[in-house]
Amino acid sequence: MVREQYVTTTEESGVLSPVSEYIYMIGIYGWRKRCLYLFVLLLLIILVVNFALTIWILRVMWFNAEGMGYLQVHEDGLRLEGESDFLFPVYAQEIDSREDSALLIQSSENVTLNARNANGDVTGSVSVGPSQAEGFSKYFNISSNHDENLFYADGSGAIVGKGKLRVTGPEGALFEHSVRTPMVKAVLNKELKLESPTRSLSMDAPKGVHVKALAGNVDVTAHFDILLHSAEGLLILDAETVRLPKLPVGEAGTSGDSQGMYNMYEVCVCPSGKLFFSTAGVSSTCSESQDC
Amino acid sequence: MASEQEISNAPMKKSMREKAIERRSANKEHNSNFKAGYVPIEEERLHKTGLRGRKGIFAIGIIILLFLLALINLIITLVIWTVIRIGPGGCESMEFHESGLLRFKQKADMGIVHPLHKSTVGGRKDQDLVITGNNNPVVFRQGNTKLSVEEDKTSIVSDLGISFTDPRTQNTFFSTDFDTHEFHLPKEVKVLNVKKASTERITSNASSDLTIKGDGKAIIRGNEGVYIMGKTVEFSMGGGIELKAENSIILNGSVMISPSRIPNSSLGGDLYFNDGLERYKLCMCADGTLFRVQVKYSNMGCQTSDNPCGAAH
Repeated sequence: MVREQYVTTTEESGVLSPVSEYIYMIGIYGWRKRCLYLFVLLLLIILVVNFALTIWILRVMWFNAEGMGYLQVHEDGLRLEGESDFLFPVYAQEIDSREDSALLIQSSENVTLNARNANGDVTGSVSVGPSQAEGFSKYFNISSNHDENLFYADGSGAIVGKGKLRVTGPEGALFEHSVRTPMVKAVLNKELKLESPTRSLSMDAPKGVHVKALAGNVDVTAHFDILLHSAEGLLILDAETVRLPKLPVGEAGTSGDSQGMYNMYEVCVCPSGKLFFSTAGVSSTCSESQDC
Repeated sequence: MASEQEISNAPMKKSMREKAIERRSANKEHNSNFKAGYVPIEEERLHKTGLRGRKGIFAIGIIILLFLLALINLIITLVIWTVIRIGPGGCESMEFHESGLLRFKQKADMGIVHPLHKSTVGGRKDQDLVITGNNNPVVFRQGNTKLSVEEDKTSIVSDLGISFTDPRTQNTFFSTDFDTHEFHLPKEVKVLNVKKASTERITSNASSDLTIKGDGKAIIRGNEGVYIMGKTVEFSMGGGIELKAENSIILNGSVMISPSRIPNSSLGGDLYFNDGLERYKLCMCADGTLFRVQVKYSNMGCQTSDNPCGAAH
């Protein structure tokens, strides 16, 4: 007891006592100190774990200033560069290309577009295969931008809407049977040829055949005979000149050759232009028989 | 010397009971809320308890450090929220569903898409799937075969073109493989433009004429013969008609020559024979063969001394 009092008196007499007392009065002691330490430790652990998880998210998702990896998030949507794989089917309402490139859908096998009904059955399809494109549908229709029907084909036939069909191949078109048309016309400034290479060619018209060449000639050439046959009517040669350049020539005779008289005739012309003949004589015999 | 001895003696002199009493007293002082932080200064006890001096600075430093780390973590979290635009309803652009569905709620601009599940891209039920190329074509492609929908045309490039088959009947009703599929002439075709047409018959229908027209020359040719039959056969042209045959030209019927255009010498009034002109008289054999005899005197007949009828053919 006495020693303790001595020690206390000694400290109080020193200059440091008030200063130490002032500072130490605000210290944390005892169980409060331990709780504080525990809280700080807990906060540190939670913070480190949180930080680690956040950094882990950043690295796993490849975060950057604009998005995740090649995926950029903008106000109006996403933009994904490079290639993207989808492990399950992709459903879309609309697929657009970018402004600067074409939309290419390609495959090492066929590229097929299917249209399905409400039951999921395929009602029509177009398939782009290795050597050709194939369509499976009830009919095939081509329209212009103004909804004009350009082409239509189904099982019962085909219709060309523009009314004109052009076949550009050198072999042209092959018709097994008849061609029915009111007009056969050549291409502009080209000649038209109706040709039967190995058989005969026949033009048959009940009301008449009219061959017209407004600015040219008609040249009829035959290897054998040219036969102009008229059953009921007339053969009319209406021209300024009728010329027979290759007629054989006979020599004028006298009345003594009467034995040849009966197989020769003289060709005479009526006032109407009709030709007729009369028996040949030394002098003209046209006036003897008037068959006009 | 005396104080040293005193100090060394003090701990040794304290008994276990005194130590326990001393510790209990200290704890009692610390537990009291009214006296917390305000305790008498006893160097021996304060040496073992309290947070003061450098320890306090360390404690404050550690707390500030934790605060800064937490702040950085908060900033990072906010940045994550901002970058992927997380909103009240989740991500603005994407939704992850329990079934594994990833739904893009806004525009999704992807470079190259590989659908791995059956390589399938499908539309939604009861809606059209619209494939659009903005200012650029849409190309469906397999190898060298290409189907492209462009701004002014739709084209198919392949070895054989395209064919269409009715799936119900399995009939190919249209095909550009013209070697194996006949292309029947479509209806409503008013003009057919070909370089060559092969057929055995060209006919008009019962109520219209058949017109064969050429801007230049029209050639009608049959190597075994050309037959023109009709109620009337009429040749009319600006130039001449030339009938050229290796053998004969046969006019089988009543033959008329237009009198109004053929020159007529009897109109001249000159009734006397003129030796200066070489003229022939048109004569005929019994079988119809025409021949000519030169006129040598007035009113000459066709009787000839030599008989050309036998020499003909």
